[in-house]
Amino acid sequence: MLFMLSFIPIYIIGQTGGERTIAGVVLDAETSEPLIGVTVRSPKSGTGVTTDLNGKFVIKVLPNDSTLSFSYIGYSPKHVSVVGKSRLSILLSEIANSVGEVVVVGYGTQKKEDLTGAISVVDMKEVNKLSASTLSHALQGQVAGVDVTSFSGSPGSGITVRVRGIGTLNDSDPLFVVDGMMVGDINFLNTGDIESVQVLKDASATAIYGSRGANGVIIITTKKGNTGKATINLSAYYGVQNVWKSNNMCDGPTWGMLRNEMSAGLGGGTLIEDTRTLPTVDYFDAILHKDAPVKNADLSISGGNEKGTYFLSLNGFSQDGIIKKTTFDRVTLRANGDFKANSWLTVGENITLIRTNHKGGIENDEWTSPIMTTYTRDPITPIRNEDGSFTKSTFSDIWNPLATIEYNNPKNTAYRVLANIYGEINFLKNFKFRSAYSTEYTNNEFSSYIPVYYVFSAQQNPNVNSLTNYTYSTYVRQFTNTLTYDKKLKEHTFSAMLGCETYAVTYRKLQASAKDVPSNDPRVMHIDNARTKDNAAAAQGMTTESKQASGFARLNYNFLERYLLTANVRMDGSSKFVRGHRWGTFPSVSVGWRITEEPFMKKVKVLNNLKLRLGWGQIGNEGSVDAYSYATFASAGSNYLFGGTFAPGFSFNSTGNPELKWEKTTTTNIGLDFGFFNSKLSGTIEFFNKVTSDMLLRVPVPGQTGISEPPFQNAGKMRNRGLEISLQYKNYDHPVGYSVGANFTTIQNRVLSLGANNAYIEGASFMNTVHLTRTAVGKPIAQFYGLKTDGLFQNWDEVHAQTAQKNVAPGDVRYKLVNKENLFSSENYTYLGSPLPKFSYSVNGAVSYKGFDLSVALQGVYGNKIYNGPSTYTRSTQNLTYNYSRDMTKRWRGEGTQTDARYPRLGGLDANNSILQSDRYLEDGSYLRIKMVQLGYAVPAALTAKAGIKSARVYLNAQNLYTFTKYTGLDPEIGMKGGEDPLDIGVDRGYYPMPRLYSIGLNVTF
Amino acid sequence: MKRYLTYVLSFALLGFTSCEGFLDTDVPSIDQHTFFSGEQTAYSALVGIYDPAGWMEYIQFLDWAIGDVVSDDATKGGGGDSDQPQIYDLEHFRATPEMATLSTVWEQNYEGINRANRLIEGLKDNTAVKEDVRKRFIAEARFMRGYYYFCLIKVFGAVPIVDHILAPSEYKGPRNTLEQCWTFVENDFKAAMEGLPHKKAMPATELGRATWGAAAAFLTKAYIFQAKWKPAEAQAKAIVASGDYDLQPNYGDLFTIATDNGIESVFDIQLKDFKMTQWGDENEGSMLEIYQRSRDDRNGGWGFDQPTQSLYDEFEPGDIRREWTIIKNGDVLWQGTADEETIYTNYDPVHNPDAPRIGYCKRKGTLPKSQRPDMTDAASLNVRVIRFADVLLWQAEAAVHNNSDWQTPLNHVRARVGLGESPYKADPLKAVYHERRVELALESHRYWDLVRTGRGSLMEGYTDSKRYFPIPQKEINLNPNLKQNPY
Repeated sequence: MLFMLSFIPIYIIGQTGGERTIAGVVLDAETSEPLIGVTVRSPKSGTGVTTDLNGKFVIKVLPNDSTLSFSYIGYSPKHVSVVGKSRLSILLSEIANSVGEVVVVGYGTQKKEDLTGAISVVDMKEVNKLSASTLSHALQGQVAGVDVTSFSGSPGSGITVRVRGIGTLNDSDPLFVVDGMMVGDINFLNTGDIESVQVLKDASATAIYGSRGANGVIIITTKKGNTGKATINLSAYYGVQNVWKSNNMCDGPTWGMLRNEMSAGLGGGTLIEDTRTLPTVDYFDAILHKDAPVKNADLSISGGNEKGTYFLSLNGFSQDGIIKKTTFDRVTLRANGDFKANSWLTVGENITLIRTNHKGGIENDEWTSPIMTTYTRDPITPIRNEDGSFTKSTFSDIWNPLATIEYNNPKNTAYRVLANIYGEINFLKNFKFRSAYSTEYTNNEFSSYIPVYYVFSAQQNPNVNSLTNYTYSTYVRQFTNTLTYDKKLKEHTFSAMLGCETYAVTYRKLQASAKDVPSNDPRVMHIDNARTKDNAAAAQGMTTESKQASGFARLNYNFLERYLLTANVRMDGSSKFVRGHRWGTFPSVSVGWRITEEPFMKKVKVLNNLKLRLGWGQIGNEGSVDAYSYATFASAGSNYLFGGTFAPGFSFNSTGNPELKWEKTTTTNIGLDFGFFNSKLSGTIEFFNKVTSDMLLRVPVPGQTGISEPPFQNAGKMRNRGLEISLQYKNYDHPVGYSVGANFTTIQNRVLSLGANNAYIEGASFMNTVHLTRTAVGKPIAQFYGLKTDGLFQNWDEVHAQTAQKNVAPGDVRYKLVNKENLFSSENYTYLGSPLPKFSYSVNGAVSYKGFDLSVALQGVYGNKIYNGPSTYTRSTQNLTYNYSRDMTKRWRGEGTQTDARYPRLGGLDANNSILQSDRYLEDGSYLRIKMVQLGYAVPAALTAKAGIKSARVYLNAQNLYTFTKYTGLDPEIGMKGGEDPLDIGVDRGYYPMPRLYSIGLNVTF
Repeated sequence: MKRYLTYVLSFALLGFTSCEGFLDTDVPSIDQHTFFSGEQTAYSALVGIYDPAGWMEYIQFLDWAIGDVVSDDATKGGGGDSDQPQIYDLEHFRATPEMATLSTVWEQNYEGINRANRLIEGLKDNTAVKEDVRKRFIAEARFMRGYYYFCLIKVFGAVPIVDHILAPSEYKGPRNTLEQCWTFVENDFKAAMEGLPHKKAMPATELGRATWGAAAAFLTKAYIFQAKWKPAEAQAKAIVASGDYDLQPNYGDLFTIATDNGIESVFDIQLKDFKMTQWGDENEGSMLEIYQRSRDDRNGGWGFDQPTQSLYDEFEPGDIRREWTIIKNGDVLWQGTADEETIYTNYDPVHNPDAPRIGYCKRKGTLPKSQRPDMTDAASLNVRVIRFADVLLWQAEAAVHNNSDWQTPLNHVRARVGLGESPYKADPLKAVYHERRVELALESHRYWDLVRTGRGSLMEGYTDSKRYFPIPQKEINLNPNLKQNPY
């Protein structure tokens, strides 16, 4: 890169007669990319030109001319002195909240200044700086009120997106809309193809999506071609990833020493005489894939003319995980086009084809996952025996993590097609009719093969290998028709939209398993080759379908561009309900006041934008209801036997509820947008109150009903209240330009009702025996629940001062007791903390000078607790067979040596001979992460032009560079179990940590 | 311009035409309306009624925990006091309404009842199923419903009677009286007898399904529990007279897989290892064998349900039933076969640190190595819920109260094991009680035999208020109309 520095832009200067010529280039201050079509004017000379495709201009001015003005839509205008100058390099900076910016709002667009709902626009420049496997990953920290948490660092998987908190005990996933198509996830998208992302947060914005808007809507618009010469864009990066932290377990000698001490404490003798010579086997290190590569290459071609535009792209992405044998790769192919068929009709299409491959293993399992067993296995048993076979631990039945990785390799290949075609008719001057038909087909093919293997009796697959193939397909049809009418009558501006939509989705699954495939060769791994195929119970298949029909309308009105009103209403009918119960109406209304447009505000120069917004709306949660919930089903599996022969039986274990309806969410929103100093400083403050009522719950019914699975009822209620602040400051007026942005979100969750006779729900089962969380009326969701510790007993006086804890000695954990007689009394169990953060935040900053740019992004949460699952093993005081956390060297060793309940004496017997559920295992989960640091250099346009290149940028990037946290586990970013269990949040079961990534990238536009 | 409007309107209409029809989707599974459309599906639902009877919580757990361990015949055993602490609490008459096992047993028996009600309602007046088939299926459903109520009455006493599929408004019915419960159970068994075949008329493939004899035996048992001695004796005699059953010639063969549904079995709960490589209620197998097998690591069981010295001493000298019931330390079983195995029952610091210094293990139902599954499966072997000897001893007991011939049935049972007249024949009741204890030892009968005959005080810690166990608190919370037992 250094050699490029030696080139300095040179501009050709010409002089003709009485006029002089000024030449130059206009670049974006932030990205250093050339700006095309900037108006360059000389007020004195009366001349004007626009910049060309490379941002260049040549203008003739009078000899005594002193200034040139540069103006460009969305950018701050600039007046530049040209006295004595004949070549110029002009940087224009973009205006935040710029006038005229258009925002996609669902079935249409709206000017940003006219918005009345809570809608955030994602800064795609920031998103594109990240080397992220999916768009969801890249959205983390980008928008206030949108909480993105990974629940696994495994490539290509594990992310949950929550807009304004967890709204329900059921499905809280937002609705994603890609180019007008409603889709369930966006992990298939190539971030390079995305033009814009907007998040509709409050009900007044999402009500247009009716029964599907309760959890927020994320609208994604993909790139389209522009009129003009073809643009070819090539971008690529390559990176390597590693863990950023080890699991901090004891080495052999330390383990042996602690174990001897524990044995002595338990009344036994010294177990290993000379511990100093013990070997150390670092299992954690052994499961890692070091310098795991991540690669991305993206090629797109776009262009068009007055008749039409096109956009074609091809993207390849592949990422190896930091744990062995976990990989993800994706190929995306996209094509779209718009064509003006005639004077009144425009047609277009949008086609995306994706193939993803995902290989994983056992994850987040408190017993057997490779990561968990690197914590628990003793550190002196070698990984393999001398003959190469995997070892059994000399001390325990803990699985050999390397063997687990070797023998468990589920694969998932998904093929996905999204296609839509549309036509748009403009008629009667102000009317526009648009009709779009979209379809999506996804086929997931899971495959898992377990060979015959033997590690030891508890880790083996004896006798026969097994092969399972599982296909899961989704077929979606969506037909949308909208009619829009725009009219301006003096001070009144109207826009009305009327639409209807049908949506149908068919899910189909088919599973087959077979045993005894002739060899482990991947080429023969097909069911046809299996020698045993008669296990009928292993075949599964099901087809389900759900449909929706909707009508909707919107009215936008503004008076004097100052007083704004938006009203939405949607009627949805759903096949999930029986006739008579299937229609719901979802209304919303919001108003806005652009205070800075008032005449009395015109004098206030510092404040250039101030808008107050108020909104209310009521929407539904479609995902909360399963199809066919109204019916009472017989289900298979109620088997018995007669005459020694298996008899398959059916039974009705639940009962349908024909009166079920959607969960309903009512949101009130107050927002304030502001811009100071010509919008150099801009921001938004937003308050919301969101109440989910009719929340679906399986309210327990008396056992005498004989119903084993209680039916769903619309019984619960939950509230989320919050405050969101986002601020931005930009200044690119000087050669050193910079910007700083920050987002802050705080949400208070409260369960208001769980139905009659239902005070709480237990969740997060851990080691099959205990529930770690309790969700109770009046409390936030999923609070940790258990015994509270009160430090350690320091001496015998303290031990004898109580009676509830039997057989304890100084150095043992002391509990805070309400019932001082019985330790296990339910009175002693209490709320221990929340897995939900008090607030979350992100900060990003960028500086640029000449072609260089440096960006930093920070992201963090504060005030949440994490249940450190591995520490239930690794801080054991009585287990002589597992490894210990290195932190146990801080154990209590005499009065006053340690007071932290996490580190009691070794050799203390737990009175119940089990792991007591207590705050001993809870830790502060707050963290601040340096999510990204990037240094880029844009090659000067003059130089690239010679090579026929419009612009070129190279960059060095680091992600997850460092994380500040007190959490002692591998990574403090721990989401919901499986991304979908809201009662199981922040429980570390040996989570797959987020990798630290270093990459180098290149972006070239021709 | 008009034509544009026409296009637009017709498109718009397209979206809304026949919305209701568009939204009607077919249910992809069999629902309550389509289910009882033929014999095949009705049979599947019938199988489903039997299913809960084999589940672990009652027949493989609480039944012996109360029947044997709470009584004076056995102690909990296992790995110390904290291994299965619920049994420990039951054993010491410290049951609480919070005990999970009581709650599960309550729920699961009502699940069985609900399944029976579902079939009875689905088949009533349903001409899609042939009349004779319908009659038998309904009789089986009523038999199983009676069976599940019997289990509930044994543990909880009076319970709410549910005889149909409840509407939500009926979910919170109170407990009926004990008398109403017994009448209900008697009526179910009587009705079942009407429609059920005799066991000897049944093909081997149907063994395990309810029979006339099973219903008659449960009716007898219901009479016995209520001390209705006259009908009890008559009903027991009728069973004997039917010739459906006889004693297994060798007492030692009784608890082997070979005699499942054998000549002495009146009603067996069917359990079999189908090599499903799983534990739990889905595998159709039994946990009983591993629960009771010696905990010594050379034998590999869990060592529960350990016989007491009192039971050991109850056997008369020369009664071979003792060795078929109780294993002593060092006993060699299946001698001379490939399965030959020495069973260790005493304390051993290395192999069995949890055993008492001198311990016993239960032999009934202990399987030889070749018939045990590996650790990934549950075992085979039915539970003999009622066997013919039980019926004979009921006849004898009722006859004692009725002053009729009690010796014939009693001696019939004794003769099988080569014993003559009872040494206690001067005290007929004592003779019957003794015989029941040794003949049916460790078959989950003892606790109920003691409490129904007023001999509960033989158990340390027992008072009359302890006869029935607490109603689960969870149920009282969900249905405040349920009144708690005085436990």
